[in-house]
Amino acid sequence: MKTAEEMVSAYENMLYRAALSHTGNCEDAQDMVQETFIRWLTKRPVFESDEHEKAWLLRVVINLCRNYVSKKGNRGNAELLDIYPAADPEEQSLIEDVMSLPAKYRDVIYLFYYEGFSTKEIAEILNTRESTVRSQLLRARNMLKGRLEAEL
Amino acid sequence: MSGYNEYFDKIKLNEEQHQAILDAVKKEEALLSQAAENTKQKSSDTAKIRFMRRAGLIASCAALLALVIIFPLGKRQSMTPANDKIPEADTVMSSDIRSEGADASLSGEKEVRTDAALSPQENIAADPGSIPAPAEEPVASIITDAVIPNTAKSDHAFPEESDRSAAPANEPYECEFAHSIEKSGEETGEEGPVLVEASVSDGLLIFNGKSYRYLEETITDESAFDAGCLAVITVGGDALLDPALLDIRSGMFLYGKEPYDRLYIRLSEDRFLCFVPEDN
Repeated sequence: MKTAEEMVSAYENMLYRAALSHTGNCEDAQDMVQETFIRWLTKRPVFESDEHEKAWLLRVVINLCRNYVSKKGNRGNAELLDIYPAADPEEQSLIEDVMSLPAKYRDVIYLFYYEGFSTKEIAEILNTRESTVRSQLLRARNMLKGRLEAEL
Repeated sequence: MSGYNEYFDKIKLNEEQHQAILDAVKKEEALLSQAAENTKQKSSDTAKIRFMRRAGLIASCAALLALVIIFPLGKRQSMTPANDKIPEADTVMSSDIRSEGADASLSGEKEVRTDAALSPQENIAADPGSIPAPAEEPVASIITDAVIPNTAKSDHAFPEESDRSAAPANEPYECEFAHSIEKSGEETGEEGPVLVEASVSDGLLIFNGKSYRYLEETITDESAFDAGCLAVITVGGDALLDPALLDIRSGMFLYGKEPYDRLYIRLSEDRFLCFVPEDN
């Protein structure tokens, strides 16, 4: 059983990125990360593996973000791009396009491209069907493709 | 999407954010630990309270059970000697009465029938001349020998009321007897000795028309009598109390104006019955 400090050190950045990808707000993302660790402390679930542990934490933080955004409303991603500006203009344009997608698409793109989960694993994390994940990925790609082509 | 991944690689919590999250998590962990400790202590206290309650209940039940079992046994044991006395007292007195008659016949005097079934009055009516002559020794001197005067009235503590109430006042004592007691004619204004009936029934000594409550106390050694608190009536023996001098005042026996708080009747050589005044 890992200590709280070990858990924070191991997963805080992963959870922060996932929360930031969903909320687009640094302070909200930090709150969601903190709340996720508190949930872990309260429940103290027994994990079968590190993968299981990671998936459980991601599922919790995304659910917390969903609940938070549905209550407070989407505060936009301007703060994210101000605080973490992209290195070059192309990358900045790409991030702006991704962050302009609906939150449910941003989640599957983050989990699929950055975290490297399969559609099946994403379906388990988001508690949805794999086909739904695939269709969401397809729609997100098409939307990004359309916006990038429009920019070019 | 390489630019996307490179962008997110750069997103990390700074040291201040990291410390804030870590502090919040540690604080929460301490609170949860304290709450768990409180819950554990509470459950432990609850278990202790339950244990104490159960132990108390068991102890109460055990005490009650012990009372239920021991009290009747103790009562039965306390009754047993009294029941044992009855036939023995009866036997002794009957034999004493018979021997008294036998002594009278041996002395050459007319035989006196002292049948317990007959009252003293019947005995007198049957043969008035059979009344034994007064003993040569003055009755007063016999009484003096029999009665131990209360020389330490102020020092002696009379039995407490609670002690008296604890005495088996109504203990069945089925021994009834009639006994001739010589009485000085000088004190009664009558000539010659008269017979006075003394009987014991239902725990009361009826002596010269007065009742005395039976206190279950038997001593077997006359020397064990407390000085100043006893009067001795010898039944079937030689020494007799003068009933005319015996009275009850304020819960004590008065014999010749000397106070006593107990009256003993000698049943046999080494057995006595103890009576306390029945304040009426």
